[in-house]
Amino acid sequence: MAPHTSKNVVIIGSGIAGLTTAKLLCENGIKATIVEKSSVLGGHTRKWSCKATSQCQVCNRCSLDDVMAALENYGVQYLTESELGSVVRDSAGYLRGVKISTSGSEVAEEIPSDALALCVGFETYDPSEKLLWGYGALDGVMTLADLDFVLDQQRLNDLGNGSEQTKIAFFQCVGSRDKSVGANYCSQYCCKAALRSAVKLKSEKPQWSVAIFYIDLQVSGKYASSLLGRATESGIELAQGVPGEIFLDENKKLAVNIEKNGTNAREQFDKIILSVGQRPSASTAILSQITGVGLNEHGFFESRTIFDPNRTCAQGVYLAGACGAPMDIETTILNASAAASDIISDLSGIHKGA
Amino acid sequence: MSNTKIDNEKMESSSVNINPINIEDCMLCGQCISRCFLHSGYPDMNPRRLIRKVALGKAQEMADSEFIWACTLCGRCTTDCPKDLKMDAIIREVRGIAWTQDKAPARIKEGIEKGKEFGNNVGMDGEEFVDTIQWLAEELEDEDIELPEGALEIPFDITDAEIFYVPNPREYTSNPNMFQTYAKFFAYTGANWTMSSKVFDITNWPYYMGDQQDAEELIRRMVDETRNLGAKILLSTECGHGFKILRKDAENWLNEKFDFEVLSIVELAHRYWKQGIIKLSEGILDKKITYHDPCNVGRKVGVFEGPRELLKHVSSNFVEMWPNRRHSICCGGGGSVGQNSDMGTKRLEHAIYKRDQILRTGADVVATSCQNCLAQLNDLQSRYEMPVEIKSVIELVVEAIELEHEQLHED
Repeated sequence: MAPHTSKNVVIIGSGIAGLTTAKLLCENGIKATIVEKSSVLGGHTRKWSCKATSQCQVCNRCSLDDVMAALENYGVQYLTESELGSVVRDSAGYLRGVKISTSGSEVAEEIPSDALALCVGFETYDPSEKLLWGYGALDGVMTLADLDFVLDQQRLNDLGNGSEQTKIAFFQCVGSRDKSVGANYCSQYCCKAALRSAVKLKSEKPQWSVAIFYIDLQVSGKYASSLLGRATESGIELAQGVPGEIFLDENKKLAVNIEKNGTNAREQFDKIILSVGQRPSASTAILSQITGVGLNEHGFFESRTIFDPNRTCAQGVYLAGACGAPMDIETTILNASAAASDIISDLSGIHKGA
Repeated sequence: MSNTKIDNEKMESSSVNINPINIEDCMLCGQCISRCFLHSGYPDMNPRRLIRKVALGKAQEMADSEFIWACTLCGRCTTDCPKDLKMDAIIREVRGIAWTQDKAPARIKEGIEKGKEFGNNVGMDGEEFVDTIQWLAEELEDEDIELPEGALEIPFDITDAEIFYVPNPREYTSNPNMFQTYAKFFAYTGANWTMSSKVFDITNWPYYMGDQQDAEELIRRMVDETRNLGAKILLSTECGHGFKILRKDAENWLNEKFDFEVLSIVELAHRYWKQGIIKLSEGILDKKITYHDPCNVGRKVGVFEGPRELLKHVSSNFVEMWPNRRHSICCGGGGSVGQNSDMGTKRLEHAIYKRDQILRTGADVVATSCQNCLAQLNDLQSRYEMPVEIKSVIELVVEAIELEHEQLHED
């Protein structure tokens, strides 16, 4: 389907936010150019695995495939290994184009652009900073992202200790709600992601024991009770309190000191999975310099107002997805749809907001 | 710092309190539970439970518990607290309740009373102190070492000396070797120093009891004496809490800026070594050495690298314990626990994490820079027959200096 306007929107980032924004724009006859820093499309969602057991767990991993398939119908231009160099504005200050630098090419290419959508997503927290969890130092301590890789490769047996009694634990709020590491906010996705992953593990390996250590489970929305129900039905132990230190015990097993049923206790695990929170991506600060879009106290992009979450204070520049605040796939799709509709209305002159 | 005590009456009558130490911020994350070395020693207590009890108006129950006296104020449990709570401050507040109700451990109470009357927790008067110190210095004559001229004359009450040195009472009572070590250190480095015949106790036991008024009074005396002498450096001996209070709390407590520098003797040794005043050959001590970070010197003040640089230089083989620095495991004897005779030898049973950590290094020597840690580590060494020597950093520096001199003479 050919675009029926001459408008072009440049989208920075090809994760679920950028692709969803592109899809909505294309469906409304606006051209999209997607600029991706790496060599592959799909962002974090591509690296994550489907959590379906015998039934769908609504992890929304497959939404990436759906949106990619939909985009095949449109002439979207993809610029991989490319980054935003600068924005071009006319004398009145209106956005007219962007300069894109592509790896291996010395000259930045200027692309006409009527709007710019920032969709650079997040980075997962690196838990090695909190030394006592032993990430990177203790074998068997991994992140939720590492687990997804194992699940995606269908190498589940790698997690086991060879016996039936494999014990796995998830630690929640790793790098979230934690002033001591400069992230005094909830990352919004990790409780659901850990619950789905735990249910997936239990469905594949029913004999294994799986525990989730949490501060309080931040699960809401229409799927919350079915997800919690599946978790408890499948025998996942939900334990309040997240251990702050992992060490090797005398049997060289991962061990933690906890309080259980009102008494101090020690437990051993074969694998401990740290549910790492979302951090602003490294590109965020650079793009803030280039575009003039401000950053909030946590380092995410700042939107114009609370009522205008996808527009920014820079004319013609929009936000979509987790570069504005931590969010899960489902919320990102909603958020990107709202960004696209703002762009559509602004470019068609319905709304003079930007 | 907080001047406001947990108001126990208010706690009992109402659950809505304005809390000076933000315990209401606790979101029960549980991190502290797993980091406390008393975890197995008190199966029914842990830091989080204490916070919840206090928040729920049961501060009195905690003030009557043994747990608050077993806690060493090490602060490890709240090192990376997501809400920035400080367990040592909370425990001191709760101890403050016991203190005002006259329920504090007898030995600590006695020490505090002596401190108020004599200015030191052993109740020694100035004259006796000067005599003792001079006698200890003269004893050095009998040692088979060549000391610089004048080394045996300890300077007292010298106006405008660069350094005012404040010792720990152990140095003139239970552990005189330590004073002799420091005296030799000053002699070898040619320091321009003095002691005071009026203020000669670096410790601050009221601090342990949450007794803010008396704690400030002791600091006031030390600060006034520093100014009275006109010293540029107020030098703390190797004493964790004494040094920590001077460096970190004193200016806030007294609400003034100091016109002199607060240093620990380990920092001074490091400075002298960097300046070339102390010359030490690399690896001169043929020993495998590890370093125990005292909670006050390390975690609370941030002195991590100075002592390590010195030890790595003089030792042929330096090894780290794990965890270390900010996450170092407490020796088990700090925060008044070592002085609290009511607790018997429980402090040795509670310190098995430290014991195991030391044994895992395979070191010949455990070095540290706090006399309280030193005493506890020595007790641990004999209790568990660990094949290690326990030394202070300054002891090792002095040992290295003397070995240098010896080798120089042989050449």
